[in-house]
Amino acid sequence: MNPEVLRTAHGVGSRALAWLHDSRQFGSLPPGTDIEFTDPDNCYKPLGETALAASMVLREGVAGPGELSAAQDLLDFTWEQFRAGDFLFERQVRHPMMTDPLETYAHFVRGGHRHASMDEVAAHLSTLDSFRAVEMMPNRRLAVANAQRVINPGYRCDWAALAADTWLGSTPEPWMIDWMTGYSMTHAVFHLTDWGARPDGLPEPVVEYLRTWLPVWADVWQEVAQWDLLGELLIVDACLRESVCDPASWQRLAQAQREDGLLPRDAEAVSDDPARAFKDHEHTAVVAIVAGTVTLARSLGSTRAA
Amino acid sequence: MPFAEASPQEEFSLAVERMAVRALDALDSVGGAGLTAAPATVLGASTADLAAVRILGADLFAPYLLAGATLHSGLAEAVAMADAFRLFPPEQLSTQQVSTQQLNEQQLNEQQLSARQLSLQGPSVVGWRDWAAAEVLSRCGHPAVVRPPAVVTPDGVESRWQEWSLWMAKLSPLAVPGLDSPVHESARRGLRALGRGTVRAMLRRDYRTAARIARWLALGQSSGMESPLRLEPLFQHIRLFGGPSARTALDVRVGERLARAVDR
Repeated sequence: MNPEVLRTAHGVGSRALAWLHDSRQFGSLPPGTDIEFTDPDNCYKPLGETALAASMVLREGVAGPGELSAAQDLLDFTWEQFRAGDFLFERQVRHPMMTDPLETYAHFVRGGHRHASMDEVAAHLSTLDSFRAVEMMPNRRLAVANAQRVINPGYRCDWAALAADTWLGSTPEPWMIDWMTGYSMTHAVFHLTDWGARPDGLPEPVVEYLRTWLPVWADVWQEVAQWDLLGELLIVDACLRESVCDPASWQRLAQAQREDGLLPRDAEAVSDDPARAFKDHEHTAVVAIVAGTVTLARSLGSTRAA
Repeated sequence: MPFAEASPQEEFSLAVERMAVRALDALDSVGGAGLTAAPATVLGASTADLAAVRILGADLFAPYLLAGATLHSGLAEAVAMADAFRLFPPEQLSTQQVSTQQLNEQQLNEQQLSARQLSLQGPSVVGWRDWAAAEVLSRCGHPAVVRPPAVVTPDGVESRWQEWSLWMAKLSPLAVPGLDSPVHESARRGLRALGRGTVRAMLRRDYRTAARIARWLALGQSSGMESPLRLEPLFQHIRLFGGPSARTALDVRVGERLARAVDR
């Protein structure tokens, strides 16, 4: 990838990180939130996603000192929100069959935080057939497996079988994909490769399939200004050994990004209310940070798990 | 005529659809064991019909080319095409042929209308379509000389697959057995780009374009090359979702016939 594109990718991610960092108070858990909250999409899930973005910046280490510091701040802020892991531990103990506490915890592990009791529980759950067989969508099952792997590098499972169960794993008719399936597809790639660290985690037929069709999907969703999904597709591109997408897509994202770093999720007007704008576009910031980070890291050769 | 009050553009479109229906009927009757002739109706009874014959071009002969049927000068399609070429001569026709044409003023106006319509598709597209139609017409025993355009294909097939596959969509009448040209060669080299163009059109719900590009994939497959897409379900999907256009149906049917032998 040429230096100009990398500069653009880095700029988009960097500005998104600054915006997420500056707006982080809008993502706090409402006072009195307990582990029985009813709406996970309100703050709980976004906090986990922020932790993911921060952990990626820290894992790759390709950002400048200011960005690394902002990422550490964000990770520590979210860790604090979850009472240094106690919140996640208590929720996991209360609902052993729920996978979200463990999945969220994995982002903190990646960023360097540990919770001893949560580690113990995670190790125990990984031995239970019941936990492996929790009813969920196939790409979500990959998310849980990858979280287990991040928490415990010795974790073993049948990755090929898990991959084969997904929409992407069946290398189906590429013209049938829809918006929601697009997100499922991207997440299958994220988890199989641990967010770009393990490009070899993709079965070879899937790699070939993506090399052929990913540029088409990026083209189509770029045309309709689905910046959030386009960003996810560019992460997928960065998870491949070689980029296949049109580098001009990065320019389009840069053009869509506002001066303050907010990257709109789509072509709809951004709310003037900062709290509303944060809620609407927080996910796209996470996407932009991860996309910029993994794209830069791959080019610099800094990532890659053993 | 039922469309007496239609605008020239509407009348023209209706005529093209009518001609596509005719080709679809011929696909059914010519494809049988006996290779019988297509329905013996007179083609090109009106100026609009003759314009439609020119627009459909080589596609009018697709049923015969697919069935490997013998082409001859008495085919209604051949007679109509020869008339249409006289009425709407391609720009590349040799000087001698042009000078021998006896065009009255009305015909000249109609010619200009058609030329304007055709030019919207770009000169090299029109040139290649004219070349293909003239080539088949010649094989029927009606000599027609149209030189292949100098512009073969836009450069950079892989990197500009969107633009190139749209260009190839407009050349779908060339995607029939028995024709070969630099355009065909570029299609053989660019099957992945054509696959991408097909998928892009499908996702944009532009089924007409999808069917036209997929014909090139089907032609490649019929000559033993591997299509990046399974074509049978693709064409079936367009059949069900692609709307009522007879021209789209013709592209689908030709594509299916090309793909059928090997797409299992």
